[in-house]
Amino acid sequence: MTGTPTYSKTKGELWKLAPLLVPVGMMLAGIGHTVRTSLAPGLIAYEAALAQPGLFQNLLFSLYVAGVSTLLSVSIGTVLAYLIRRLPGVYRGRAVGFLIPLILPHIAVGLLILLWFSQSGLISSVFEYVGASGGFRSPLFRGDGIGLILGYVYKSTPFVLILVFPILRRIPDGYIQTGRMLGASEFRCFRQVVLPRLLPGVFSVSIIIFVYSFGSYDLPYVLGESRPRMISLYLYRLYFSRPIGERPIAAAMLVLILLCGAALVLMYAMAVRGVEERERRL
Amino acid sequence: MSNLRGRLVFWSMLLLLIVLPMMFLVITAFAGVWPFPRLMPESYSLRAWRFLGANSQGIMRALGSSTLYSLGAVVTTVLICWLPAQYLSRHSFRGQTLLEAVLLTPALVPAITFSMGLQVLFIGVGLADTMMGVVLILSLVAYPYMLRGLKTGYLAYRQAYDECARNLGAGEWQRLRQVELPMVLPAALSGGSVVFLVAFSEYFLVFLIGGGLVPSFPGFLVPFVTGSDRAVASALTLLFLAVPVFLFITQELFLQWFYRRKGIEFR
Repeated sequence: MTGTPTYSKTKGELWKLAPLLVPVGMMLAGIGHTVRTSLAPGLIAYEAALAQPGLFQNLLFSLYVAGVSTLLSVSIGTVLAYLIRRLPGVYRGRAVGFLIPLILPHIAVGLLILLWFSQSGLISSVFEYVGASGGFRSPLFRGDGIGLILGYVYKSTPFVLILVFPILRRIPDGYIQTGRMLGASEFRCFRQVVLPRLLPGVFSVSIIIFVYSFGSYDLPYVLGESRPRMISLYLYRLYFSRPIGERPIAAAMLVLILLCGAALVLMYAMAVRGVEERERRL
Repeated sequence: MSNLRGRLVFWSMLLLLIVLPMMFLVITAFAGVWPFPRLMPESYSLRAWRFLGANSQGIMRALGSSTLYSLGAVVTTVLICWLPAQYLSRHSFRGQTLLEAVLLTPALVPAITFSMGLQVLFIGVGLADTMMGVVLILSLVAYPYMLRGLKTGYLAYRQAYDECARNLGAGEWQRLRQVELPMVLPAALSGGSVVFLVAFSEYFLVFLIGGGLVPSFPGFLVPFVTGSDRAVASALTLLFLAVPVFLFITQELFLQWFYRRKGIEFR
């Protein structure tokens, strides 16, 4: 490890952080405006927000879609990274192919899902072609979010791969070989030697993916069902397509989501500190 | 792991997740008549590509605008993050972990929570519906990736290099230009790639702040994806992939050229 370099003339350099005031200031201004809007007449908007019939249903739906997507992409990505780590070095170059979904915008991932899984898509054709009994019933737009989950997993798995692989590379080969020599199966080696060293990093990746799948707008716009609806679409409609007098309600919901986000930021900070302490110990 | 089984899993995943979807995209883009239950098109045609040719003006405008604001976001995030990354990598102080987590907030809370309020404020200061406003909002969303990248770059940069240069009589500016810049450049470029990708593929924020007046390629793509012309949508998606791939190859060649000129061994 490089250790923490200590520079002699360090005290007077705090001004170097100043450029960060631009984005942080913008973010606070945006949040401030939302909070002010939500407080227009006391806390009435919050009461109205919590009384909206769609809110909890849509919130639960978004949590479910984001949770399942995160779980799947993190598992697939981690196993894939481990697989590439255990294969000979040339496979690292070949694995670049897996990164293609990273360059695809969410809108285009939506197109891929439609091409494969819609009622007139490729899989449906295959079913028809082999004459499978009962045919194929498209999993899209059925209200269970499968289309969205497929899209998010496709887009996030390579993201997990590029973030987890560097952590895996730092685990010495000897650890795994020793485990194998002592008779542990490949699975047990992964679970008992590799996974504990991976968990803090995996946790921070999970938070980033979870938040993105929870709150992003692009994929639901293409693949989203209307009931239940992803919270991003729901809030956007509430904010911009309703009479302006109802805007405080939408703003109040945004503030509530933001508070949950702040809790996530704290959890992230603790996870990162955990990683750093562990590294100091190892 | 029996190596054979591992290889088998690797190749079948690559085939299923990447090769087949991409091939299917190419086939769809060249499909002519394609009645439903057939696995392959009945005939092939260049109709989608002719459509792209006929609308090349609008497409180039959207593509050019997307490239411009994405590069603008890369430059802006470099300016925002360079000195802070240097500071954060060289100092450790109480509450640093918390500060750095707070700095990552735009990646940790949904963008809708701050962008919708910001849109209203942008109208007030005349930034809504402008290129500048789009660059700013995209920089806000993407700067954490640049900060992280640059900080990693600076952590690999040893204090000894700095001392060496200082012993040889190099001033602050000369050290920055001749020692720090070449050493941190790869990290800056990899941070830049992420920022570019985030900005280039974003649809919602550009639409929200740009108000439809700043053309974007994802915005151009949307009606074809939600509509029924899948051949044109596929052709546009393939065109979309070309831009980042071209930029990454250029970047790699630039790095090689840069290091050869500087006489530093590449990587």
